[in-house]
Amino acid sequence: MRDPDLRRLREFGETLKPSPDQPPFELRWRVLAAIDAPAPPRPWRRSRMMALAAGAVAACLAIMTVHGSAGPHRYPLEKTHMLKLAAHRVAAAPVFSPRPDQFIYTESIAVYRELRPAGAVMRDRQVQVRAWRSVDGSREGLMQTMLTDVWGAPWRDHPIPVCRPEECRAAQSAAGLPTDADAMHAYLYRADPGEFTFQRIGADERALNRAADVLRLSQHLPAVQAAVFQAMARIPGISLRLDGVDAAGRHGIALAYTATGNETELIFEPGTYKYLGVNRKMTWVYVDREPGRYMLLPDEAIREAVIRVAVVDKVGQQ
Amino acid sequence: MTLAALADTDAAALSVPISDTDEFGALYDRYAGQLYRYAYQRAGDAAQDIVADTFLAAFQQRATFDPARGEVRPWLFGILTRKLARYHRAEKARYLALARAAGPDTEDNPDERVTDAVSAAAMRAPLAAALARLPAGDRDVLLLVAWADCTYEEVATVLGIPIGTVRSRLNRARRKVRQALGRTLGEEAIP
Repeated sequence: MRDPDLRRLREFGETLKPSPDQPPFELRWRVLAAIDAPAPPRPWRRSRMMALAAGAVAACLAIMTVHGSAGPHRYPLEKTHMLKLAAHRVAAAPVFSPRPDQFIYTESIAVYRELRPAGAVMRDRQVQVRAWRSVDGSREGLMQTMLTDVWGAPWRDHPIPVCRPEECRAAQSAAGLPTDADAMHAYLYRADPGEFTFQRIGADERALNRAADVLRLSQHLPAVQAAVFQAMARIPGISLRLDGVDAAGRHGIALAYTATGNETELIFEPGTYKYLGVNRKMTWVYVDREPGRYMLLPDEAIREAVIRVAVVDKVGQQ
Repeated sequence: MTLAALADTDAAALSVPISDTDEFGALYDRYAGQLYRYAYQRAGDAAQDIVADTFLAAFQQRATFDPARGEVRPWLFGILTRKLARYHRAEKARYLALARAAGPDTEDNPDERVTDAVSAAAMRAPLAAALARLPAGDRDVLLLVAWADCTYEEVATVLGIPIGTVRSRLNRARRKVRQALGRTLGEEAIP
């Protein structure tokens, strides 16, 4: 710009630009959610005569605004819309087509609170986890864990058994996971007598926990990811937050479920809705060595963060 | 991507069914950054609401967009400028606050090498004050050229005014800016 006055004005304008210079991520889906809503809210105009009534409206909007946003907005964030947009986005992602004889390699970290036999909380421990799961479940996989806070700690092997796709549980393989919302909803709420847990947990929270497993295992399967996002929209009691942080310290959007003594929080990358990890705080029923004795352990925290997912040819390959 | 192809893509995004937000999302991704930066420069934190209002209005008015009459960018800036009009008082107050806060800080920058920086800082106060005093229409033209990199033709489309009016408003606005700068920049020929 050769004209000095315009150049000075432009330099002045540079100093007024936002930092960062891109709009906040939540603005995108606030806009798209408002577009997608059956009755988009009309811009709110304040007039002198209506100032008092407008103040009341503003207060209502402030209440409707989700946790973590910068302040009241005219387009409140809503988890149903977020999940719908997420389903749209992941369904459009490139499809990986691994061969049935390949493995899905997943690298993650887990942070948990170590217990002593008497039930006293000892300290937070961090574990590095790497797993090779057969694409179709027909090959034995392997999970390895290593305590990262102990120098020289060995990798411990945990075999992942072979399974047929219709029998594979989420921990074994993504093979056979549902690709439509109804089937996924039924899968998340399935009765599973073989699934043993000491947790005091309700059906909805269990469904959200299972959704976390599905999301972790199916990052190469857009149709499964889309189905689980659609199914999660039907889980009651989920709230949306913008201030989630996973075990690796990454910030993202969180879908949270809070019940008495329990809290589950799924974290997603803003914009892409890629699953980052899950934070769980729960009450465990701790069974003591003596039969019949048990105690409740509140506020147990387990956090998992997925670091890398890849398709590999064999167990051990990264 | 050629300009024509881009226009085609934009036009396609504007003709999508209401249920398909992905296409409109692509339009958002293409233009939200520049609209947000410009709105933020002029209205500060209100930029989020202004940009949201702009895209919502664009979606509601998408049937009125005629690719034959221009590209999507000036059309969106036109909507944004109308949304900004609601914030003119706040915008003016923002410039006045900047004018009060800005000023040369020579004590912190005694080195001669930062003369230009000091000079730029010295310009902030008169520039902010000049922008606060400009009529809204003149300010729109000036800032669309200086901050949004619009051509005169685009400004005419954005504001829905003849190009001759764009030139006369720009001349008037630049003259006032130069006067505010105390003619330290010298008189320049205005194209």
